[in-house]
Amino acid sequence: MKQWKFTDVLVTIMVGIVFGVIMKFWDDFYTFIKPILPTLRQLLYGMWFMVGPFAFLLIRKPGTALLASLAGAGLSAFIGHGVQVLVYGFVQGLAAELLFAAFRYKRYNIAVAGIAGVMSCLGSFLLDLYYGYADLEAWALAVKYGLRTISAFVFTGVFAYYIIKALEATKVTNLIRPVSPEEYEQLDR
Amino acid sequence: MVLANGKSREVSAHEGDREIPVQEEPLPGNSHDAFRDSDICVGVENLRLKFPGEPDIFFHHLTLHIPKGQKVLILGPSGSGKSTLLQVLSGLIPHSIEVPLRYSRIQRPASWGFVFQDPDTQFCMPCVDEELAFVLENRQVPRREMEPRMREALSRVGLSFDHLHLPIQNLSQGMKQRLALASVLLLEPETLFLDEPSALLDPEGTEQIWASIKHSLHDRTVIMVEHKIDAIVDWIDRIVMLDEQGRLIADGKPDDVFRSHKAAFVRYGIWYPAVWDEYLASSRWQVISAKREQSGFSPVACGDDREDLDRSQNNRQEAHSTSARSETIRNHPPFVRDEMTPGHAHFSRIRSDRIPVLELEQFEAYRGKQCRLRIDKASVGERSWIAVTGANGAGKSTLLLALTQLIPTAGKYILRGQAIPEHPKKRRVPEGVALVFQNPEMQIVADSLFDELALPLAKAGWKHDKMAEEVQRLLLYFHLPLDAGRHPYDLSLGQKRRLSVATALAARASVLLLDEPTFGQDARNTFAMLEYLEQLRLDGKTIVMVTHDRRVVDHFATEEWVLEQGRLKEIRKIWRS
Repeated sequence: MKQWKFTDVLVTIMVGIVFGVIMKFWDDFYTFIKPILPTLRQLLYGMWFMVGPFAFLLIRKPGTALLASLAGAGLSAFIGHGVQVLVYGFVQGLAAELLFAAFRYKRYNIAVAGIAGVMSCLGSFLLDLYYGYADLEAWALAVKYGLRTISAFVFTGVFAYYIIKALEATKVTNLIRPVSPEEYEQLDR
Repeated sequence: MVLANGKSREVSAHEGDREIPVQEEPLPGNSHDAFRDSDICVGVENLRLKFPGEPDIFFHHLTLHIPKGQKVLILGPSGSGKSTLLQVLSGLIPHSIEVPLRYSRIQRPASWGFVFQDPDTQFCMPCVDEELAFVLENRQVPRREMEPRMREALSRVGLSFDHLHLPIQNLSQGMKQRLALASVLLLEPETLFLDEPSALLDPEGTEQIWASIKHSLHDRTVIMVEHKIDAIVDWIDRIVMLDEQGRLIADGKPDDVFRSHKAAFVRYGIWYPAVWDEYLASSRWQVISAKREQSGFSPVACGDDREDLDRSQNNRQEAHSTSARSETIRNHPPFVRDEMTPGHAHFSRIRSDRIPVLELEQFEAYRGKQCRLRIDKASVGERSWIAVTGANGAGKSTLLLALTQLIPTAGKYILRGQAIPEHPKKRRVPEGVALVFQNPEMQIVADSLFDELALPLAKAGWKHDKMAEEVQRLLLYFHLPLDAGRHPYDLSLGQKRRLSVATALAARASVLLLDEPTFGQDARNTFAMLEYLEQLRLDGKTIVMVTHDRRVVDHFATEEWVLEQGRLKEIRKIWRS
């Protein structure tokens, strides 16, 4: 278990907060679109799953996904969406975290990030069932959550991955990723 | 890590999930164990460090011991790892930031405080009292004792406020740095680490912070990194000089180091006290001065005219012989090519300096609804170098923004005979005008050097196949890395500034507006930037530059505009055409 440094906590929470703000605007847009595209708007839902995987792709340390998701949900809750959002943030973040753990935190490609998003989507489905938002017939459920799953993969896999790639080009990521043992070995030469 | 029996163990800052091989590092030849000496407050032995993703190794077994109460100044070129060394000695590396390093022994101070260079990024709370209270809360000081302690710390750095609940952003930059120092003093640290505390301050702020530092830290150990050393060179006990890779090349009393390593001071661009005088006596300056006089400018000198004439005659003769060999001023920058300058070709051929490039009459500039600047009448001649000076808040940046039409203006503004419309439906940046911000990152829009330069080149009419060559020439001319695929953020501050000027030129700008282009730069880069600008001026560009630096104004500018509280108070001619 790599030690968490202070910068790790800070960066993770900052990512959570930035996404918290984005999610707030996204939520307004999502609500606005409801009368126009009630079902197709599920394709936008992926944004809410993006926090955790994004933070993990950025910092690549265990626990980042969960913490970022909680931070983002915390901000949303604070802005006025209430405690329920925290529950969603926790479950979705946990789902992504467990998926990254399943790959032993060593895989950082589109597929893994995308599947983490799909896991978060599954988490949201279970919560929806619990809270009564999924009170639909089987075929309707399939459509709704099928679309949401696609959205999850696109947002957390494709978008998050390419944004991180752009950040890597500016070299800001060098100092926040865990250092590989080879770097230390080079000092011994 | 020092084990109980005094033997040392190789330590790497990567304890955790790897077995660390235990190596017994033999103590150095003389068996004097420096760390046993209780006077040593901070020290490290055999330090090596490497940034992840970068190939270079820094420090190369650096050993440094600092006794209690000593005032140490660490000097070296940009990128030599001076700030990194401070972070290692204080423990920020590796405890807050993970950077691979190895050392055989290290001693960190029992209590320490750190002041960084950017006054805007050092605070975690919005108000003065909250920021200071944050420190006191962490020290578990009871509430009723807080205010007297806060006031005492503030007075030690020379600040005093009636009500402490002030927003920090209302303070000047110099006051912010002093506040940072005060909050660090509340920690009651034994050792202070200061990382270029005056780098981002104007001359007034610099004076303030050094006065505060000298006044409040006289009894503590101070380890600092600085580039502008004339204010503190009399206060420090010891200079440690590092080379480009962090190797120790000098360590001793300031006078001794200065005498024995003078060349290094010059090479590393350190602002030592005589640096301007030496520059003005150098052949590079003589060349510039001579070229100015050749092109028809003469200094508005006070003193014996005849004497000046004789001196300039001699300079001219000397200049003829040195200019052939001089590499610093390059003739004919690559981009002055008539066939490639649609619509502007004839301007570069105008030799007369009488036609004003820019005229302002009853010119007003607005920020929001407020009129922040009013100029009754002013004009700028061809090939002028206008230095805009004035106190903070006088309207200097406002002037530059107004000339670029980034803020609404009123009144007459005539650029090359064409009037800029007063209340247009949509404000446009006038053709041929380019603004270089103080923070070059605010202007970087692309992900590679090529794209950054290709954008203005394309707008200026360059065809795609010829662009690659022109980009290379621009990169060469401005001493930028020739790898055009590199990301602009991956450059040093000086390089980013030059990149901003390069994009302005690629956009065919003939009027260059610069907001403090030499701010926070070392001596070498400052002179290089000034020389670039001078060469551009000789090639027909007009320069309007905001600056605080008197020496720059007095020697490089042809004219000075002094602003005060939003009005043009005085126009002072320095070189007359």
